[in-house]
Amino acid sequence: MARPLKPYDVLVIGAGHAGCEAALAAARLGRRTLLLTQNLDHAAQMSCNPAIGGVAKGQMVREIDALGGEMAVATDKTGLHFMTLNPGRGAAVRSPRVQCDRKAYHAAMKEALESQEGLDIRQDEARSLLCESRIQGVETKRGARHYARTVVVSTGTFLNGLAHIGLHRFPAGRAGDPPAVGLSESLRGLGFEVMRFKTGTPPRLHKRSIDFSRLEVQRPEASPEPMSHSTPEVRRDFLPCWITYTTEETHRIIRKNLDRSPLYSGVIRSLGPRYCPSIEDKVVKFPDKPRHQIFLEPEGLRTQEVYPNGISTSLPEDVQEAFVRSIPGLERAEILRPGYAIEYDFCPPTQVRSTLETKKAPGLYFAGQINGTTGYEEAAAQGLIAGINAARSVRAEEPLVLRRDEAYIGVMIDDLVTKGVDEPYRMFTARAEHRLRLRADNADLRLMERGFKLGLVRKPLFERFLRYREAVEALLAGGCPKSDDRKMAPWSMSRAVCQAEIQRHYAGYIRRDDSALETVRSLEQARIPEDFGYERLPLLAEARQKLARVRPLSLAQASRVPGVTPADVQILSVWLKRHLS
Amino acid sequence: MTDTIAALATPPGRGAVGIVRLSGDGALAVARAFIAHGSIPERRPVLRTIWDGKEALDRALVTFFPKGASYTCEPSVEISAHGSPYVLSRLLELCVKAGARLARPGEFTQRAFLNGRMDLAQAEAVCDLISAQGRLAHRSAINRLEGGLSRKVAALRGRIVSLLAQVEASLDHPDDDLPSLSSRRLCAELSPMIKDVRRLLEAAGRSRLLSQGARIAIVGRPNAGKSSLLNALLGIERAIVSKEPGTTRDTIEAPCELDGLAAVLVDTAGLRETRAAAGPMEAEGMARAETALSGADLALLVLDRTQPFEAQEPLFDRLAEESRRGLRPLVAALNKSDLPGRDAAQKALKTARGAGLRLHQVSALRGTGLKPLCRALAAALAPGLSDASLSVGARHALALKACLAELESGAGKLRMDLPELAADHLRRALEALDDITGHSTAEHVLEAVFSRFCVGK
Repeated sequence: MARPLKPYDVLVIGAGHAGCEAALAAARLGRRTLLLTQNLDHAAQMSCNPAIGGVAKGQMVREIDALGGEMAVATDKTGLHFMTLNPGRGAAVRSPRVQCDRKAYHAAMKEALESQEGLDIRQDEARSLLCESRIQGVETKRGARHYARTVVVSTGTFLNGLAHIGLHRFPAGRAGDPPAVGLSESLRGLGFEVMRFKTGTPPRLHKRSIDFSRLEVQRPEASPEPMSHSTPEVRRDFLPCWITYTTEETHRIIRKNLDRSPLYSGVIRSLGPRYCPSIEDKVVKFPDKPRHQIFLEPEGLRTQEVYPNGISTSLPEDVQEAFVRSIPGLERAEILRPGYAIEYDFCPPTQVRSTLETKKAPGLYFAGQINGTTGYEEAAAQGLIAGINAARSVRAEEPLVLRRDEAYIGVMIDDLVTKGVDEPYRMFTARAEHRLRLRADNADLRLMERGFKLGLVRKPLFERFLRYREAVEALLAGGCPKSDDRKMAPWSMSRAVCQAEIQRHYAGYIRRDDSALETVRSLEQARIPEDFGYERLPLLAEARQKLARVRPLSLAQASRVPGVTPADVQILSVWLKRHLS
Repeated sequence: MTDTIAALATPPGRGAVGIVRLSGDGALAVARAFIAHGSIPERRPVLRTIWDGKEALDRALVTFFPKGASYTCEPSVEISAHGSPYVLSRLLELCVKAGARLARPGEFTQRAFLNGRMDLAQAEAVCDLISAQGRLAHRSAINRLEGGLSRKVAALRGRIVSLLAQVEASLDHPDDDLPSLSSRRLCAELSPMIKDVRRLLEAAGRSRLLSQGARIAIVGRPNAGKSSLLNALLGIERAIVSKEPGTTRDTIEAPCELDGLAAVLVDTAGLRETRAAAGPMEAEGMARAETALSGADLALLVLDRTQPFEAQEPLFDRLAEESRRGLRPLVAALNKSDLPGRDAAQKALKTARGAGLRLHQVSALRGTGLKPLCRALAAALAPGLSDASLSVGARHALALKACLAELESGAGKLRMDLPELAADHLRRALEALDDITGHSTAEHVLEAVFSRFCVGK
């Protein structure tokens, strides 16, 4: 095939939550972008539960939004059930979560992709990466070659995906979709280390077969706060969720059939997340717990499918049916699709930089599950950063690297590239040492200016935000700014008052945090050159190897590498100065 | 803006004078916090009273070195106080209270280098210093915590982690079916911890930690005369001695003073190459000897001139290599100088010379050669101890104090039902303990959350 005249600036492989954000960000930054997907009808598919947000994750969605990403906008368009988690607690841990209409969410995101200027979309599967001294493009399953100056790989669970239902297994990217084969080999060929994780999902039930009369209902908020800063309000008929519990009988059935579970018969050896265990894991690891909670979540307005959140399983179908029917309200439940576990390839993320560009192949970026994370929000956040940085690298602009005290996104990426992962990585507020700063209510104050300067937040919205910010600052200075909600909508004076109150509430803690940050910042400014020769450092071999593997960008990052002591960092600082002079 | 660091600049022991050195932009302000009266002129020592609250702690010579005119090139203050361990550790505490932090090993020298005080050729020497002292300080930190205290700190840490895990689980997983967070119950768990930290602090306050001093492991082949040498150095019959090899099974510790330096001599079971050939008792003795060695600030190797040197050479080589790598200094003694054994002695002397080490000829039985050996031990220890490890006791006391303050604030926030603020204090309480134990917090808390609670839908 003839080489096209002009390569794309950015090529994104995979149209999941990471890929969509990456492609949109790159195109919005004015780069010629191509998005490759196996199946356009499954773009932005929620393969697991139909919800966006949650504790820590909700904060991250607000951050994505403040930087000009799409996730929160699509959530507001398609939300069926909005909730604030931790409502009675401090603002730092209050988090939005929205149950969405799965199909509508996909459609909203597909529409955003299709209407994005400068973004080409092609349904095809990437087979191999074309790489010389840097990335050149990709070759697809159909033999087409697409050239690009940068490539973002966001393939989710599709890399060599293998699904398990009982002892039956079949290659799949997710139930109903074939896996991506070839790409892992191509990555290995480029020298990447590839490992395997597993995750799982529950069976889907038919609504008409559920007896809701016996179940506890979880009502949505009547007039919820939108997820996106740009959404004025969300008004529609919301749907409730229901709560039920497993029984001793459920546990007995599961225990009796463990020999038919791929997890417990040794078929699956990859590690899954501890915080999102399958029901068989819960029953085995917490034998004293008499019952486990299940949320029954609607999948959409035009479907009868219900998602029973809490009983992810890979037991055989007959066992799934038997244990589901031992649960109150589900005695006659019909399973529409069985639950399954899936194993997939990922690349240990110490192989990427804080920009999400890989160390081995310049111009090649990884985002989402390929970096060993789990969750739509974690994926979208990485997609956004990878898309932005790929786009910026094309014109040799400074990359966007968020600090740990600036955003959950910064915490996540720093954790990934510095510490690596030993189970699928999910965000928790407990991971953030600056938790009291990183709130859902101040994502705009933290990041919207960055989003605007990048070119992803539009000027009219930013100007309204600036008026709000001025009002908050005036209030904090003890002033009494004149209220004009029309000029700052969707922000408002009452919101500014609230914000000022929250900031006063945490002020003492933030000040304390500031003084600790000062020390970290000076270490942050001490940059370490990429080609720094660690092998000459008089350190213990272990510390030397870890530093050489991670190649931290600054002394601060070096100090966070597991196994590196403060004394090692001191020695590094001395050698750094020696190296520079 | 550099933060201000503080450390003892003189070697440990009950010397006549002890110098506390402050360096950093806030050095003068820190000193001013406890030197309320009288000027502190530049580069001229003045006699000033150190105030510990309303009480005078000591009269000391105070010198201020302005920026550019000090060892580190930063504004520095040197305080020459009386050399009592209590006065010096209290003085360090006052510095920390006024906003300084305890210097890490070699940090003064590091700053001097980074500020251009030294040339490049000296950089490597600085690194060697930091790495040797860092390891030494870390080891002594662990060691001084042995004998129950380390277990207590570890147990306390575990209890805080478990308490924090409950708070974090409820914050991160509000949807999950977890036991509800009862402030009253958590406070009830917290108050015995607060009491325990107070008790630990009292123990540290008795200065026991500080006065214990450097640890010297006496090692060698079975029957080389380790126990006899211990007894000779102590001048008392502390250890049971016999001609039977392997008399010492357990390690024996005895405090002593070497040339003005507080030290603990640790007698160990004889080491042989093959543990397999040893019986279970002897194997355990050897394992304990290895533990003592790994925790020691210095190894005193006892060689036996009446035995072929070839059998003793592997242990010598290993310890010499470890000393070269900065792991721990080695002093070697050739025992039984009262007995014949010219061949072995000559080989030993030659090998030692090759490794750049002096071999001290002693007779534990007759008590000859002990004085030079003591001086060599003290000299080998002093450089390693001057910058940081002396303040280990003070460091622990400060860490425990910080931990206590955070636990108390945490309890207050729990009572007010502000869990995310309580968590902030509990995290800092753990970080304070981590200064002692060198753990990292976030992963441990998550670990505890996942192992204790069934979370995740």
